Amino acid sequence: MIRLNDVSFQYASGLGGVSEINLTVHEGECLVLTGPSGGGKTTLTRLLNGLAPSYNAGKLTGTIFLNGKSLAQTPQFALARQVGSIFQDPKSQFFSSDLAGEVAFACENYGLPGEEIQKRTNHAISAFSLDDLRFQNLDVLSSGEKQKVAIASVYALRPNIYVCDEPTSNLDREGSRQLALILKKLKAEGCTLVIAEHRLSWLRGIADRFVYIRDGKILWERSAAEMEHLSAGQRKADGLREIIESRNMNVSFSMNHGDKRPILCVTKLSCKRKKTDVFCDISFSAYAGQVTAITGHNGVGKTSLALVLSGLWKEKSGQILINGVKMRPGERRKQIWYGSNDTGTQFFTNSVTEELLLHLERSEERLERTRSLLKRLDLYRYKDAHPASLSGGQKQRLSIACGILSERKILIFDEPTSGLDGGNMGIVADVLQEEAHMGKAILVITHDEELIRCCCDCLIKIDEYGNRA
Amino acid sequence: MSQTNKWTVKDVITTVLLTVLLIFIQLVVNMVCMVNDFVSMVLSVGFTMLLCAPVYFLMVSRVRKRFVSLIYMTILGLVFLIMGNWYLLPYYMAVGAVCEVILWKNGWESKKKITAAWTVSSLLYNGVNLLPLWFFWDTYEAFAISSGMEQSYIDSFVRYYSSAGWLAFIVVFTTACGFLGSIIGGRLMNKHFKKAGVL
Amino acid sequence: MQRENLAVPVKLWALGCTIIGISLTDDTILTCVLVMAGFLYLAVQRNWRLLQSFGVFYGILAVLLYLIRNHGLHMVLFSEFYVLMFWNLFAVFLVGWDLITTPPGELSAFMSRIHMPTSAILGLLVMFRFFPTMKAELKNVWCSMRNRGLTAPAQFFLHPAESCEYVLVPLLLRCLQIADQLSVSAVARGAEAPGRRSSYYEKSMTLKDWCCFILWSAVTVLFLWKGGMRI
Repeated sequence: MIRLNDVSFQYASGLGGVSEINLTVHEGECLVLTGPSGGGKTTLTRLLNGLAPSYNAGKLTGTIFLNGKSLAQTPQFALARQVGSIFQDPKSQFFSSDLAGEVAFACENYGLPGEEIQKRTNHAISAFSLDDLRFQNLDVLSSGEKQKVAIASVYALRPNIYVCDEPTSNLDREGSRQLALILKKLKAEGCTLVIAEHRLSWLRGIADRFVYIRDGKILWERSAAEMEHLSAGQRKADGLREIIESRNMNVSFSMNHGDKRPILCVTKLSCKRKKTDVFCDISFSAYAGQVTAITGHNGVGKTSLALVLSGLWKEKSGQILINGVKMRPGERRKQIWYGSNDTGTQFFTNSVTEELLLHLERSEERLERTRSLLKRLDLYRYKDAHPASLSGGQKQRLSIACGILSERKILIFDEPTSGLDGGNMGIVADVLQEEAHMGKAILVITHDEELIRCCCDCLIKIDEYGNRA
Repeated sequence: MSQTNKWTVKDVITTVLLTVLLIFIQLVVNMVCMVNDFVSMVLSVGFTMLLCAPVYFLMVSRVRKRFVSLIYMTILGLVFLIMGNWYLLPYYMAVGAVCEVILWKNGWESKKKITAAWTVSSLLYNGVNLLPLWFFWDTYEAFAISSGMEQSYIDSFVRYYSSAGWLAFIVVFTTACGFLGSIIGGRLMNKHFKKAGVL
Repeated sequence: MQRENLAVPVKLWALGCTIIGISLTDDTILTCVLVMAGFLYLAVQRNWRLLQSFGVFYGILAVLLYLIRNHGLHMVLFSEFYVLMFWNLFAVFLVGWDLITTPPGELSAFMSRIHMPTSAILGLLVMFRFFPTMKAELKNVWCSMRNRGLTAPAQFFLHPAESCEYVLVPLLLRCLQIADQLSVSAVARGAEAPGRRSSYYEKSMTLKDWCCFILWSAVTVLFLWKGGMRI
């Protein structure tokens, strides 16, 4: 059992933190912390696993009790044996390129005897059914599999509390589904789970209680049953994502494009990288004035398709027509914008404004447009900040803004909403729709069905054999 | 902020990552330059120092602990050891020690001190070309003569290191590159890293 | 076709032997004896890939050296000096490369056996993670530069300094971010726990290890004894 008694925490940098937190987490319970980005969810998880204040320096007042003992005297490494932590981005957490080495990592740190480590490692690997990956290089796994490996490594240490900080923000739908199964299993074994998350629907059937945190304070608590009956209006007001995944995609996509000619027309496109076919024979059209969603399983080559379309990769065969003219990759790069999902390496200048106007002529009209777009995306406050100092969700919105201001006619965005809370997702959906109405063709690669429902006019599904609309 | 001199896990990981990046840049520059004598003997060290300066600046001002330079130079020396030039290990450790002396009293706070440390090490870095030459020259000369090469041809290989004019040029060039790199490094620190809040 | 790595102490000993051998020898051409021993040593470990690529490289060096020696080949690009130096150092390259391509788990097991502090071991592990991670990041930076039209040749030649900045700054920022994430991940998994670190890959010296150990010592002594020493 964890009990927080009037806990406040202020980071040494002076930004963010939580205040006056009173919270009890019972043994074997699954508690979900939710609320808008930057509201203090992550800080709370850090308090529980001891990273704050031992790693992220700051000032802590109040007391945290773990099974009746105050944590103030417990060093972080001792706490980490009882409280396992799972983070956002599994790809930059590994210390080893092979599965067994990575899973054993935590046990090795505590100097467990060799046989014990082997026993625990093998058990964790089979418990998470990772046996097939034993001789694979970890770098080539999918993000879902990587997250599984990260959890297995914590599992080998056998903590009885797990703290997860937005574990799905880098996972696709399949990855989230697998993660849900694993958390269910942990819960069945009697472990306590604390999950900070804004995607809520995948937690159905696992979560027992939801706690809403905003501006560093707990505003309300609801049970899982109460959450399911939350009205859409209340949900919107709190900026929350969907709680129940809608079963049917109850949107009628009009296949009627009028008599307009498509702006982008792709016929029999195939791509080959390093002697393996990534995708083959894809044909579709996209129209100006519409937002087109591209979905499909993991690994069918959606991102590769976007890279080929935008001229960053070369196609093997097939043709791509823009306004009826066949274009080579170099020419396509000038016409089509590709907004990658990875925002860590996208920004080159030292302020948000510079970034948006990079290599663009600064006419008064464009400056005005930049200003209004920044305000719209709630980034105006940060117009002089360094892009690297923004949070993940803010970077995603900045990347979208860069695409819009590039003045290219066709914009492709890869999972643009993976790290956004409900409120911001709504804003992005609106902005995309507005841009489409101004005559651009927008393609969105996404698993986010909420986003598809909000703004997409047309859906393309890619599978192993090609695609269908 | 309280400054302790105890190394944390984060310091170790940051230092090692940036060190590997530095070594990687150097090896690439060295490999590419080896194609031409003039470039490799006269210019390559300068290029390396120019490119590496911002990374070194970032490393020193991010970790803010003693022994960063020594660890960097030691790892660099170990890499050369594995490539067979064992004498570069003690040499680079000595260079690292010189940097430590310059930075000893909170040198990471002052751009001038980091600049001084990097400029001095730029000068000493020429050892990477000179020491192997010095160690291996007799062997090469014997081999070259027995293969029937003319003495003048053999000597022309070391013309840059045997004439005072060239030697002076090399020293001035590398030191200047190191200094210029430091200035750029310092600018980049302010322009990007300080602003991004990572320092 | 799994590699069968020898124990780390043997590998270190082999590296030591080759370094002593090539530093003290009087006859540079004869270092091929050590290289042959090195090739044998790779074969014992079933490290065929390394054997193949280094074999080809060594073959090229041998041909070049032969041409220089007997046909007076003068090279315009790559100096004769380097050919001879590479020839001389080749045995060390071979053994050194084999050492650094050992699975990091085995190296860290060795380090924890000799009571190295946990942070040194973490440093070692991070070093091996650098290349796969950075390769992906560099690719991403390049991709977004192309997307934004920053890679046009005109841009490169007109503003070389700016272009360097565009590559270096995102890469460095990402490097720091990765360092942070790695250290959080390490700290959350008990990297700061005091005491000796243990290891999954515990290995003791086998008969084969001892054989290689003795073989290297014998080859080096014989080589120096027969081939003559510098001092």
